[in-house]
Amino acid sequence: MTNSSESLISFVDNLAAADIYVEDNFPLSLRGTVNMQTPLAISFLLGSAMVGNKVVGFFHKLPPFVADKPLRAACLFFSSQLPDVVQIPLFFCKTPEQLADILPRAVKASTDSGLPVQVVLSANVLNNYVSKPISYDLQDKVLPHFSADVASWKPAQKNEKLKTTYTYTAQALPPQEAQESISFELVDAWFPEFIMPIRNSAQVDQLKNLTEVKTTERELVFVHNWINGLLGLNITVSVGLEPELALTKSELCPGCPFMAIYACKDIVAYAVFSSVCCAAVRDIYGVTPATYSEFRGIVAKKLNIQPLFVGTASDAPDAEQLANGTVLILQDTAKQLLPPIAAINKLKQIKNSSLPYSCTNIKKTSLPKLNVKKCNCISSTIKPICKDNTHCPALYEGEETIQINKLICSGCRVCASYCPTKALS
Amino acid sequence: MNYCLIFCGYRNEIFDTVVRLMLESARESDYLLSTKTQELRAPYSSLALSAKLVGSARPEVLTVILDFDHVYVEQPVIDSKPTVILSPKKLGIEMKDDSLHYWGVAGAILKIISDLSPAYVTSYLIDKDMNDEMNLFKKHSVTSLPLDMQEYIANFGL
Repeated sequence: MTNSSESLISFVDNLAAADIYVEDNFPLSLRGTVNMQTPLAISFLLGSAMVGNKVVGFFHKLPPFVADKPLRAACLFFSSQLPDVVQIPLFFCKTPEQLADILPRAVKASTDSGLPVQVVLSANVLNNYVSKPISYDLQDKVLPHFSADVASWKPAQKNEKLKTTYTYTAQALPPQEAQESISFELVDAWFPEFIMPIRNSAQVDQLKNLTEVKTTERELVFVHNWINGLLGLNITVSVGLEPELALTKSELCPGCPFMAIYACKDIVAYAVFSSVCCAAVRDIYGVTPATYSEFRGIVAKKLNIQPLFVGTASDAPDAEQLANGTVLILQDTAKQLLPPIAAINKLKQIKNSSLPYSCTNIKKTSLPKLNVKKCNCISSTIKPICKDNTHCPALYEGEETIQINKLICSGCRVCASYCPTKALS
Repeated sequence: MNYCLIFCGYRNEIFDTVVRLMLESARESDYLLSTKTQELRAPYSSLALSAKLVGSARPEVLTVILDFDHVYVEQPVIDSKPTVILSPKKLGIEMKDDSLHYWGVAGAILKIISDLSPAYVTSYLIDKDMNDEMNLFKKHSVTSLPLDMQEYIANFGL
């Protein structure tokens, strides 16, 4: 029984990529060799591939970028979410079984076309178990699914190699009723395996008889942009499919800086924006994703509610540019731009400052003490406030009291600030 | 008989081990498997993995939720179908830092799926010299389930 994330890691090892970028909190235990903010990392990887290095990037959602220079080696961008628009060739990997087939094709497509290629990985691919180990044969895998067609693909680059066109011809056509439900999230629904950033006549033929297509809410923008924008069809795309059920409670990492920020009483006066890529933080606190540049635009106009930006030191601009608005910086590098706070639980009010660590370098300090006699939420059949408010996985319900998991607790003591009986200290 | 096992937990390392062993056991017992998971929201976020064990052509499916860390959120779509929830609290297993309770919950599944062989798990535990884990697994694979759960399963006609 193999975990599919192990297969992905072994694929990256086999590829022998010179540069690997892994965005913070990407759900794969893989260490990157490139440490910089996402837009810069994309430029770095493209530059490296231009001089003949194989490069791989893992992103939550690939931001828009321009790839206008031919690459000399394979450049693969993996993402766990669909992009909004098709900007480079896209492969979609829905099930772990598809990995062994799609990844070598993506490498070959990138090498042959001189373009970066994006591979979108579903949740199943990232976490699932397969009974047979997935093996990749990067050398011998040929491309039965591509055929050259010079007429329809004219890339902007003036490179002879790029004039070769790749159209997708061998994908089996799904039945008509399956096409009416297009979804990457749902295992049973239909979704194409490959999309080029050009109008593909084979895919137009597949879909032209449809009048309406249903998809899930999260995929609506992509499916609409693909069918009505790229393919030029006039089909109504609507939300009609339910996403996979979210079955479990969201938990943050032990010592997550957002726990301390949201433990501050005056946080209610702020609308929080953040460049930190964490779906759990967005789910639990409703934080709006934004970059530093976007935040500068947000604070340019006076709003009814005060905006607060939480970002990391590694992607922060100069101190002068931080002057507008309220900013909290999470220290993931030594670059000190704002007055520091000694410990994360010392954040008593929101003001421009830097917190001692980020989500990638959470420091472990001495653990909080639990006074068993005072801890009475569970024995009084009340939901434990410390656990419910912090969403900390280091706290769990024992038989009569809350328990602290000493193996994972970081000692941030944010839980103590919520305890009504001061049992935690 | 057909089952839908839903594993829920956030202690990633032990979760991974237990799920692998249970799925392998199901495969060894000639169940046809298909698994799927939800998106992992953060490194310590809880994960749910559902495995369909197809053992017969009959349409009945019993959903068994193995809620290792009390993270399952009740949902009408699932709870409206025949469902049994196995959690440390329901089975009277004390949760501990070293995640031993995972083995107790995993052992209890053998009381529901009687043709699931414990051999694969026990041989793994013997191999690794994991005695405490073995004791808990064995204890809960022979201990009777809570009465209400027994009644429910009996009514379902297993």
